[in-house]
Amino acid sequence: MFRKYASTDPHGAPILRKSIITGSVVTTIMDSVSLASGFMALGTTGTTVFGHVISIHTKEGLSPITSGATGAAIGSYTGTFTATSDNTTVAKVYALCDVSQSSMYSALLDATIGTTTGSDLGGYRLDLADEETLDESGASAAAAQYSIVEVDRNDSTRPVVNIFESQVFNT
Amino acid sequence: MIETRGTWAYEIGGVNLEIMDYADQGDREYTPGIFNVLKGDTGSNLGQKNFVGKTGFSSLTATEEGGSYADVERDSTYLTQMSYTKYTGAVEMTDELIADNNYQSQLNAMKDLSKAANYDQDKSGLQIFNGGFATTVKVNGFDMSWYGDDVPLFSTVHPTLSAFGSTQSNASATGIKFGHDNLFTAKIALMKQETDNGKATMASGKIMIVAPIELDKTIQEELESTLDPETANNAINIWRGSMDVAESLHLTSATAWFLLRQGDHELYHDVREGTTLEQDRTVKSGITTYTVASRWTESARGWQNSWGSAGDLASYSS
Repeated sequence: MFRKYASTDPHGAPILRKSIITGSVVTTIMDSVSLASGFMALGTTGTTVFGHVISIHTKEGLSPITSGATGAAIGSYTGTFTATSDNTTVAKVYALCDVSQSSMYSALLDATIGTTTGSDLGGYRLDLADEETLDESGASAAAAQYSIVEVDRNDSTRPVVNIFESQVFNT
Repeated sequence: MIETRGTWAYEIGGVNLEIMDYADQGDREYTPGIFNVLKGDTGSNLGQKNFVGKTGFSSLTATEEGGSYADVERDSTYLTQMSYTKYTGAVEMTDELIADNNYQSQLNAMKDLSKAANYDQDKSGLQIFNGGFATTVKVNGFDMSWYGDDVPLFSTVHPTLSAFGSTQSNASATGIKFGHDNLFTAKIALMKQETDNGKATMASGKIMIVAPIELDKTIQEELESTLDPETANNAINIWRGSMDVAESLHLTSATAWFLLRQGDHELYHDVREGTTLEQDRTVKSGITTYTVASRWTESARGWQNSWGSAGDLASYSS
């Protein structure tokens, strides 16, 4: 999964936007997401990136009290939420997303960092393998969803990246 | 990382289950204090520090009546250049989270940031031992300022700039394990360390054993038994109460052990800027940012009065 690492913007708070979760989608905190038909969907290879899920909220703005799965007990929400099939019209549970390209994330790779030239080098780019993992073998200097800044100073197995192909700001 | 009311599922008043007790693991973080092991150096206003030293004069020479007096010589030690690294952390909290949470004390960002800084200063200090068998500057995320002789802090081949001295070792070349006889081997090695121009040294400080908690049982047996715990011949235990012990959870090797001559060793935790906690609220988003920053380094300004063994029985020469 992604971890928030830092920000290139020294001026304070992140840029947050809310987006109602598409029906039946299972969302976990820090997932990379895109907007599809106006609602939040999990990020996939090649789609422009809306942002990363900071927190999940009921339509009242509070935390969910269950995981959202059918029959889940109160108290079962621990950071992963399963939206109902009609979430966009009924429950309207939403994800609060950090959409800033200034935000930097320590990212999980699907293969050992450095296996492909550039996956551990600033200035190279990576695409998503899925919503919580970057595709190590796709490292290249060409445009992609994320841009590598450096290697995580606390975990040398992970690159630090920021959103390069943004659905909000574009590039 | 920003925290919102969605981040904390159980802490917001009126939402979710009623919580009867709340455990704050942050309060139990391991912060025994690094100055129990390393010397402290604070209060400097310099961006970088340089350290160097000298030997005393070389030995006098027997001279016949009317003969020319012999020359003596004193030499420089290696230069140690020390620079500081800034370590920081930041967290944001929304107005709603700050106002609505039932655990104002436990979720106090300043309190936890302060503890994080204390924890990392302790952890950083112990890396001087974890990284002491190599010359790599960054050890487990923390930067070391090593002694300027270009060999590891615990080395079998410390060079000297003096023609009167020779290469010295303050490390076990065979990775001897901690134990009754090996402790004597190590103590002798520590006591026989010479100045850079080959003179015996006078050390007064009590020896401290620095070791991982995996050696706790063995160390207690060796230092607290009345009789030699490794034999059945009723020999007295010469080590009983003879040394201080510093065990740490931050030592990564389960076998490596070290001796320090307290007061005489040259290992420092040097704080350029103490922990600074600040907060700032962004009015257009109602988000408060909390930050912590501190600048420090770990420095080895010399290797004398310290000794180390990897404790792995492996050959070591570096």
